[in-house]
Amino acid sequence: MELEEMQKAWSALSKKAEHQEKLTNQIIEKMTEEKYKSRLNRIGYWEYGGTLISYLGAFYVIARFSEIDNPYLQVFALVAIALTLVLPIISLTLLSGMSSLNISTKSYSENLRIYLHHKIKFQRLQQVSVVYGLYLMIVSLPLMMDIMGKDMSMFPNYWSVVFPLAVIVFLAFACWVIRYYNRTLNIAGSILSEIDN
Amino acid sequence: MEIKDRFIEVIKANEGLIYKITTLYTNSIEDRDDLYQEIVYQLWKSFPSFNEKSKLSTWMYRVALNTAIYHLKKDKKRVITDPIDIGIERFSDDMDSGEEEKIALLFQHIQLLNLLEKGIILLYLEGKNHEEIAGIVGLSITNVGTRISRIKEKLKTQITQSK
Repeated sequence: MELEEMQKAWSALSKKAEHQEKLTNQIIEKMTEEKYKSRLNRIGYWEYGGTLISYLGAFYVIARFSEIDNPYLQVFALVAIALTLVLPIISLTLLSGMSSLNISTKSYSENLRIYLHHKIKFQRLQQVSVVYGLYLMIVSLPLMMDIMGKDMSMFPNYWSVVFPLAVIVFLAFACWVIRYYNRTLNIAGSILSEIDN
Repeated sequence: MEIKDRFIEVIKANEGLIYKITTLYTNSIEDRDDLYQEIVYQLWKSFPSFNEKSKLSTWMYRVALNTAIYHLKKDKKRVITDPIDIGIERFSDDMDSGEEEKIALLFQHIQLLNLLEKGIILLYLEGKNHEEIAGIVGLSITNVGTRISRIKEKLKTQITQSK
């Protein structure tokens, strides 16, 4: 298919589309009504729900922090608390940052730039979030056992086998995640440099 | 004439334009209909502030293309609150299979382009001149010219390689 043919095909589509009135007045009116909620820029229930659950978890560990005896576990708990409190705030800030869109006045390239910058920030946040999730997965069992005053001897191979294995899996997965997201980040970055040049 | 009647008139006269943009920026009928609604809603929201001095089509392209960008960010968590049956897939009803095949191929190749290239080539295929494209996209006229040449080359390569 040559470019000229492409243009012909496009014109054919345009002609067909122009001469067919598929939308009725009623449908258009429905789309403009207030009950149709725009789904752009909305912070969903999932984001708020996730933040609430994270905070409940963090406050639980804070409240029981004095019951953690092991100093290593205390460090793990502090890192987990810090991440659990900070990451949702970053996520919500990024989401609300998209609420100041200027769809009708800003140009396509300006909006594309804003969108891509946000996308890059989100992808970085997701990289951190995945690593954070795995971190929680590894530390939560010994942490909870310690808080509840139970002995890890219930899991005899935890420190010798399970924990080292989990760390290896954690590192391998984290590397994969970072590489996976980096590909998307590179694409976004290359479009941004195209706009800026 | 009431503002809503005028708006309805504008949308009806430009259904094709919205349809083409929604098809290029989405991968499924549901998502396309979703974007279609979102574009009409965003057009309605900014319709009162639309400056009659600027060209109607320029304003429509700008709003529709910008809406399409932001629609991309939520493609994996689509939540339909109040779906409206647009039935736009019927546009291709009276096309012969050869035409349909060519259009499908054309869309397939354009979808491989990045977001900036996609917006520019769409406006180019719509018959917009370099000045109009520059106005909508927000690049200089010279820059638009250079980019169009590059995109044409890219499409040519893509098409040759796919044969």
